[in-house]
Amino acid sequence: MQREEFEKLALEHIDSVYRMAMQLVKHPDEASDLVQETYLKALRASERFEEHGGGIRPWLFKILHNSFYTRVSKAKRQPISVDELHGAVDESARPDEPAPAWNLNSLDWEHVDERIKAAIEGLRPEYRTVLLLWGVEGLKYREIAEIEAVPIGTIMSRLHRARSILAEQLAEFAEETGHTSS
Amino acid sequence: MKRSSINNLIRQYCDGELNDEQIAQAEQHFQDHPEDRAIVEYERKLRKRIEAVVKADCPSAPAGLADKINAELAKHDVSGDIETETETQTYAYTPKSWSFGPNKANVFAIAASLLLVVGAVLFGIFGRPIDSRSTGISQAAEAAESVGREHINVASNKTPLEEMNTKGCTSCNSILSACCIQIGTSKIPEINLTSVGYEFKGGMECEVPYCESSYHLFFRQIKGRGYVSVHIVKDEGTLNLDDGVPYESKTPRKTYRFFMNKEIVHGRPSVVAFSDGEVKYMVMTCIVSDTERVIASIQTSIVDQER
Repeated sequence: MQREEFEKLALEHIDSVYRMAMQLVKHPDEASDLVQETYLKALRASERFEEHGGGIRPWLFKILHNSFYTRVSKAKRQPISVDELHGAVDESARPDEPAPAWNLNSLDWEHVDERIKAAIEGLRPEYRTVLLLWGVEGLKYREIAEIEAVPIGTIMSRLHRARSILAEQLAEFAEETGHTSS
Repeated sequence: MKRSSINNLIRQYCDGELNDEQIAQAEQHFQDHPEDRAIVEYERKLRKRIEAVVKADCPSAPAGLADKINAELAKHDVSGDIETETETQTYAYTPKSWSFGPNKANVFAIAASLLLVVGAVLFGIFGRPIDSRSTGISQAAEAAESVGREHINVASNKTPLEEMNTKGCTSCNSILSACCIQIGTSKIPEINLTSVGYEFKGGMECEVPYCESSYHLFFRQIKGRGYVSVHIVKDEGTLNLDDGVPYESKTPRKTYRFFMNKEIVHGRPSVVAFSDGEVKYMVMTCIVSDTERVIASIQTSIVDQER
């Protein structure tokens, strides 16, 4: 790919890349630095970029994630004690239980934004990242799996859990506030 | 089809992740269960709201960032090397010119290279190919490989485990040695490997591909340095252990073995897996000769719990 073409294509996605950087580092200045680093690395590797149908955006996200994880060691999942293990109530809906909010067809969607925002913020980082790449950036499972460097089944599981957690939060919200449109 | 599988099918339908056959299956389901169409509507609305909320919070990159990046990019030459203020010295680089005409020496070199490659293939210089069963040809094999990697991470302290806490099970008030572990709504039978020389060191929630919930229980040899990982997996019926190689042993339940990529798991070549119906168990042992005793101990304790 020609340099000019690369720069044009890549910079078209700066908003998306910045948004994801903000989700990762949670600070505007750090996000800007991370985005800048991402673009410089992308330029260096631009000759290796190959179009696989998803455009340049997933590739930029992958560089962004790699840059982020290079800066700070990926937080390891901390083990829990037996006590916690026994008392643990899994945060996601169980597979064989219908997600509670699915019964809320009459949910008043105009009033749920703050709750959705809080629920997203409360997600474990690995769930949040997958949810945002899917829900906001519109990426396919396969693309997200490549970005996160995990099997596609893991992405499907994470997304399932993230959506179930949001569904539970919305169900609680509707119960607390009576915010249904019917 | 289990409800959880239907839910997953519908979500993948909403996400445009199904193939033609699966789409037809989903459409058929909606014809049979029109009430489930509401789920589609719900999922689409939720996705739109997620997008709207996040974009409203962070609509675009800060003004000037694109210009700043453009300026940085402009500092780079075509090859992409960074030009910094301290790197003022220039280096002349003259590419080495290669001549590769059709002279006798080159023809001989090509022929020799071809012979070497053919010989390498014929005589196995490159060694045994990686076992295809470990390269993800099935979901179960992929899950097993993930289990193997996690075992190595914990055994090598890349993922440290906390010491066992002695408080009893909150479900049945038994002391010290839990009668069960709760995973969501599922009660998992106690796994006690002391009879085969291993003590429980701790557990953690983990991620096994294609499984909705899974826990990693870790055991250490009481008199030795071996480790055992038991992954307790509650899946959605998508993992088909039959993809593995039948594990020939005297263990009570039908058991399968998944061979690992030896480059990943040196000397620990397989994960052994079996099911008790609702829950699947994937086990990896550092000391391979202990595998059968460990599996038998787990399976026996499950049978005892069921009585």
